[in-house]
Amino acid sequence: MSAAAARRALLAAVLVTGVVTLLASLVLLAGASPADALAALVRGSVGSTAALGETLTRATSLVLCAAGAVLALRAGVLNIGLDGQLLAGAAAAAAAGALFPGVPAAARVTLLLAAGAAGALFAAPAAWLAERRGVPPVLSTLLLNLVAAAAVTWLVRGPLQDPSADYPQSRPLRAEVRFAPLAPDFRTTAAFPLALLAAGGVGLFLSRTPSGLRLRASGAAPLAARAIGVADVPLRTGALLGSAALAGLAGGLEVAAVTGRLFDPFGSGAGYLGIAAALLGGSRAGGAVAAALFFAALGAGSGALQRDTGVPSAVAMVVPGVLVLAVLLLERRRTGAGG
Amino acid sequence: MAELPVGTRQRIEIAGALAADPAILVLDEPTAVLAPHEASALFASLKRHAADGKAVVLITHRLAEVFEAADRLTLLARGQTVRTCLIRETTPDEIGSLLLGSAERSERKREETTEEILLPGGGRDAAGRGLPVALEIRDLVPSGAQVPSVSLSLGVGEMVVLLAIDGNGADLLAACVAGLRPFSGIVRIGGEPVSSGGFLSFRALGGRFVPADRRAEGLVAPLTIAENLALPAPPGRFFLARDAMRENAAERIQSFGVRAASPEVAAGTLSGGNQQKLVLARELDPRLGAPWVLVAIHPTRGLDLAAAADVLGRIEEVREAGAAVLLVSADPDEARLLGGTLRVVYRGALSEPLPAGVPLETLGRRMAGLAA
Repeated sequence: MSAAAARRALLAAVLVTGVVTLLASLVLLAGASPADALAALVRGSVGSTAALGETLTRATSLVLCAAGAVLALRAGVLNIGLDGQLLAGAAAAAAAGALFPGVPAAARVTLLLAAGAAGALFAAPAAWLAERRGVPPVLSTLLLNLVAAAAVTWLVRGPLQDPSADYPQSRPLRAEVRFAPLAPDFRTTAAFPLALLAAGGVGLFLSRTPSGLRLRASGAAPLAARAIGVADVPLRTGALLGSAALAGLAGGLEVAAVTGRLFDPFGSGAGYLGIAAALLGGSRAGGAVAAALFFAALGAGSGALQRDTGVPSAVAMVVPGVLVLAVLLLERRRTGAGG
Repeated sequence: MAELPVGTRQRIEIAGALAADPAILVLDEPTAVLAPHEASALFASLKRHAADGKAVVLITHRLAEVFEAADRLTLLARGQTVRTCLIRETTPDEIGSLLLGSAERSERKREETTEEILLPGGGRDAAGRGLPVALEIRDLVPSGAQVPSVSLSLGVGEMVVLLAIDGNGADLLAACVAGLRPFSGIVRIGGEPVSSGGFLSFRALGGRFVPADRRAEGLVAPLTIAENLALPAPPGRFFLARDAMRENAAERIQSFGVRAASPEVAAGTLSGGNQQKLVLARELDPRLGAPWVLVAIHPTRGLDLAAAADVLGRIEEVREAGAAVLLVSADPDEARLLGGTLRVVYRGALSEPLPAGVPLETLGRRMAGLAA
């Protein structure tokens, strides 16, 4: 046990050193000093109330998508469609946000429920195809992302377009429906604690509930779970739809707390980055939230990086990809050696 | 390659190893999936190999093989050397009693904690004669298999051993009965039908299953022992009742003699014998209700003699208590000792019932598809 822990600590140290070295070399290549770049990253992500607000605002969608990815991964389902499900949720929120004028609380609840339901509904074809036709969700959900992007393009130029302007965007949500910043100079809204709550719920469900145990069994060893008598189809379907609902909720919160409306193109790839966070976090809710916060900080800090040192902000966003690849490589080597 | 049955893969692998003409050849249970005449041929070529001045290390739990093939033996029990000697210095009886010494010790340990297994029906005679059919298989054909249909019925407390070399469809037949593979035809437990691929209805009707590959199908290796024992219906309404799980696991571990550091270790870290005991401890858990039918595929494969005796003892207990047992085995020695009706499966076809006393050589020829 302690040997495994030591091994894990060593791996983490190697990973961090490797990533820092890579980042420093990229910064040097861009003609800046690594120390300045690091200072800018820290300043831009956690250096002030405003910076922290930016980080946590970016983290909201990521945390939800990462939690969704964890739920699906633990059930053995590769839901690559979180980004499309997020778009479905955002579109539903933009449409439903206009309901219940004069009752902001009801409008908000309806908006969030609609967003979650839209996300789940958008993944339903993938769930059906997987269980009835044997189509791998990794394919169907990925293709549904393209459908979602095209649908948004159409919606903001058609049924949802704001009639008062020519831009491809929806009518703005009424101000009283939108989530307000928690403090002046702090962009973050109640959406962030809501996302943390949802991620905590996923963690609790997986580790502490009978269904969570059955889901983990079915995901870790599908053949054994069936032989033992665990009904696997409802578990996998539920995990995929639940995961999609979380992504849909992320889209709804993005509209209600950040953008206030749907436009094209919408979203910043939180669905994909959420999968990366889930993998980096070892497919556990706690780890995935930590990774999501780290990625959000990198995203927020990369703005300051470009502004203050002239290093392209994209350089910082190389890190998540490299980290996840490194983790997957090490995992593969470990399992390869073990079995 | 991966699609070939394990027996065929084994033969190809052995042929490959011999063809390389190695100076040292180590074989771990090479005959587990071979027919008797194939095993004899293997030993003949191993002896030729050794006569050429090369070393061959044979790891086996079959006593007869040691005395057929080896020049020298080392008897291991729980990682300890019990005896090392030349074959001509000892006898099968001596080694057998040394082996059984350790088996009996674990047997005694188990008897102290033996529990009452409650069974359905009740009030029947010991032989189970004239009692209702527990398991009925009629015109069963596994989906996609080009084999003749199989019909078979097992009374309450009856055991049928399907004896087959791997790759002849006995495993598939058993998996169909357990509802884990689609099939055409009828399977009934206590008169109620098990649907094709209906592993849930199989269980609900009192079916229990011990799969061939305990690591991949019998257990969820990364989950803890307690978690494995809590499946398929973990206790607790909203939250898992961890205390109940731990208590149940401790009780199951003790009564089945599973050697584990704690119920909280991953099931995959246990030795093969202990994994198999864990599978049985879960399948025969009285909380699941009384078993009507037990389907077991190669339940003792790869186990040492003591663990194998333990596992077979458990199965025999269940049968005596009234469950119908359908057991798949590739080991004719073992099959003859089980005392059930023998049926040889060759290329998916079932032989007529053979008495337990049928000569080993006849069984071997039947398994290989040769006329008896």
